[in-house]
Amino acid sequence: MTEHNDEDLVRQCRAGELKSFDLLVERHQRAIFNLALRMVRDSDDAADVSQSVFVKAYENLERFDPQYKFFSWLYRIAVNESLNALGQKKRFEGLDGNDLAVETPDEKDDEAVNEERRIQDGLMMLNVDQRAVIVLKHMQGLSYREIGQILDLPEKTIKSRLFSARQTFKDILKKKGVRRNDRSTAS
Amino acid sequence: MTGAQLRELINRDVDGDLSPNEHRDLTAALRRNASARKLHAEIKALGTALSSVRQVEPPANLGNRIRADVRSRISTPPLRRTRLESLRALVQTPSVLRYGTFFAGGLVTGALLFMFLIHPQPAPNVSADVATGTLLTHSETFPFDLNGAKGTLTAISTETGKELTFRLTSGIATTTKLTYDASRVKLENVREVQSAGGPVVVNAGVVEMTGTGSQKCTLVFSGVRDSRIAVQVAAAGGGTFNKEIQVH
Repeated sequence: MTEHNDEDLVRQCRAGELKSFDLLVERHQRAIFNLALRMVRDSDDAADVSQSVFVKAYENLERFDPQYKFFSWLYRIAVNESLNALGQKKRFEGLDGNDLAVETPDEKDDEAVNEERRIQDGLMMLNVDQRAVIVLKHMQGLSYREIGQILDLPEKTIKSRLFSARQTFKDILKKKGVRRNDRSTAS
Repeated sequence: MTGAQLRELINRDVDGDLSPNEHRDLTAALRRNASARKLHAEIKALGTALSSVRQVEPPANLGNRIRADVRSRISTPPLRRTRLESLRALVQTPSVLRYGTFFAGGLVTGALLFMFLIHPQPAPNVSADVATGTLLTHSETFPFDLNGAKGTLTAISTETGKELTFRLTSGIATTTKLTYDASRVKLENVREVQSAGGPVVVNAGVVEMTGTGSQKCTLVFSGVRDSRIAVQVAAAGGGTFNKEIQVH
């Protein structure tokens, strides 16, 4: 069977072929879930965000501008939905982060799991603007230009935001490392 | 080269964004400047660490949840005919069909007028506290406030309408009691229980969870469609929140 590109599937979907949207879901759900997971941290919330991303995408498919990549548009919705989810969460419970562990696939690999947890903890300490550029650049592997399209910002702004986010992130990880050493020597 | 320019080159180098000339300039600067070398190594290590974070598989039922949600909310294609196109199509149809359509339209309009304007409205079959959204294929989140302690109750239903997940987040100790009509609805299974610090007790018609922070359980039912599940969240320090979940 011929592999359709996203644009073909969007076109078919606009013509009423719901099956084509199913293929888009199949193709992008993993990336969207992971983007949401890194933004909101909790996997249940990330699943809810992913669900509403695709529903919103379907409902607004006629507004999608085909001059852009479909995934950029989807990522844009995902970033916005993640911010909404974080805002809601903050309003209703306050983030203490204690019970929000990320589920990783291989719990046996403790060292890797701890490192990922440390990175995720650090990510959550960045402000959401910085977190979004870090996630899009390093975890989704996007270019400055693509990130600019997703966040609707000039490339120049993306670069400076990314560079300062890295600096902040580096400092956060350093501090966390120091704190962890302090705790281990105290106990 | 200023410090800011050097920092920019270092960052862009990590992203593979330098031209050969810029790369040459950076290499020369790094050779001369020990602190720049340190920064370069740190940023590079950070980039490697971030990029090596593994992708997590989404929940197995996510695709089905999305597809079911899309189908439940939208019964027609996203690009529906414009009004003008619909009118044009109607005018071009044979007259019997056209008049038939107008007649049927008149009947529907009359029926709607009768229902909403002339016929007295029956009392709503739901209490003020009932969630009336179609829960068969999507999720609903209800915020609550228990004497100043805020939280949310989320009810998520799957495609089959049999499996319901209840998630509760709050910063205080609570007991969540789910009550359903056991004479009609059968609870087949309770799974994915995550209750921070407390037991989950299952009795006929009642599932009770106690915990602090977040609680979650997935209940697998049969015969749950068109029924209601009453949810009561009681704070240990007093105060209750009640919600009835209508399962369509």
